[in-house]
Amino acid sequence: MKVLIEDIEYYLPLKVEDASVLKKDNPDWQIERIQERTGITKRHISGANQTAVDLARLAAEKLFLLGSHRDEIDLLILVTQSPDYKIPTSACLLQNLLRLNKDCMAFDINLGCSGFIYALAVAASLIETGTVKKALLICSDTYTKYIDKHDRTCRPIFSDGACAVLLKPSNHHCLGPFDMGTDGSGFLNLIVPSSGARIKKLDKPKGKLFMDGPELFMFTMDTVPKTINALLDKAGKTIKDIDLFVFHQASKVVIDNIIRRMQIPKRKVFINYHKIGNTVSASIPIALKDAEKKGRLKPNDKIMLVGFGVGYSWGSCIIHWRARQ
Amino acid sequence: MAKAAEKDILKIIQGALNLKNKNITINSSISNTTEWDSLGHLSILTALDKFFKGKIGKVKELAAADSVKKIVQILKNNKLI
Repeated sequence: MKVLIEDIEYYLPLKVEDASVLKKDNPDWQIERIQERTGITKRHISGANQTAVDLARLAAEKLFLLGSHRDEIDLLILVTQSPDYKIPTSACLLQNLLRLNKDCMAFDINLGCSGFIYALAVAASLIETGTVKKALLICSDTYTKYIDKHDRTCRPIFSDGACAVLLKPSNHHCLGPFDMGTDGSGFLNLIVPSSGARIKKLDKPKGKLFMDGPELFMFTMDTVPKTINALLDKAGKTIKDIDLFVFHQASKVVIDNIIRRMQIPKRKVFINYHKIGNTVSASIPIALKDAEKKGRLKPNDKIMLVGFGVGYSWGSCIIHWRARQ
Repeated sequence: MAKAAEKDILKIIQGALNLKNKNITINSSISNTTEWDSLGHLSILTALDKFFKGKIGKVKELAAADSVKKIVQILKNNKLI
């Protein structure tokens, strides 16, 4: 697709939780052992009155401060699973808060860890068909609000954050191909029970995130290699042709196992989960921005992005970083 | 590769849980082994997958196998031991 990522900015809440906070709330936890496996040492926590829309707004305003023009945006996609309200759509609130034009299309995508890839595919399709000219994608989530402070499976992993990405037409093929998939049979393995219209007497705590770590892990080990191989086939490429892999920053144990199973050289994999945690849909664009800041992205580099998780849902794509105009 | 034996599986689980002063037996399970929590289970799955050279990803029942007996039975059912 002739669509280019023009700019990326992110915002992380100022409150940071490290091992000392977890230990204070949970003296019986073996924190060193948990951190050794998750690889996550710090996580960002949204304030009590700070929502995903607030984080999204702060990330987008950073783009505008750095010179992007809000008047040019005619598509706003907010990827979130922590909406301000069940009704209305959070993207509509955000259009107003960001003072975007009223002829701007705005909608939410309710997906988690695969959400950025889906939003990229939708936005790029709308740009390529000429329906819109400039798209603002924002991935923003506040999963920590759904997590019990004594939940040893979820609390050491999830973090809050938002990332805003601008897309515009390009003269070159910079984006694609894509490989996407869904397996809704796994929906119960990462869920906030009774959080919508379906209220059920479940064994799991209502209103709080439940994650079956081993089930998610097995899904990842089976599915991620398949989507990587399918994408490489579609692109007519091999692992050797890819300059950098940016996976959803799930945790160390997950990414290490993907690398091992796919025999991807570690130097080709960018990680930042250790200092940011798992920010759900925002994790891939945040990692892309950090990779750029660290000089890991060069013009024309071929980068594979892979998102996977809640749903189950997954998606992968190849981007040609800022292909020369 | 020669087929693994039950004792190999015990050794793999022992190593994955990093147990130094305790032996894993056929009767060990999540309920009687403190180190065998959800993260410990991920370590066991990882160690088994390394040992069986990537064949464990498709054996989905292992995610819910909360005892050595269940793990051994599932591996037998899948003709891995």
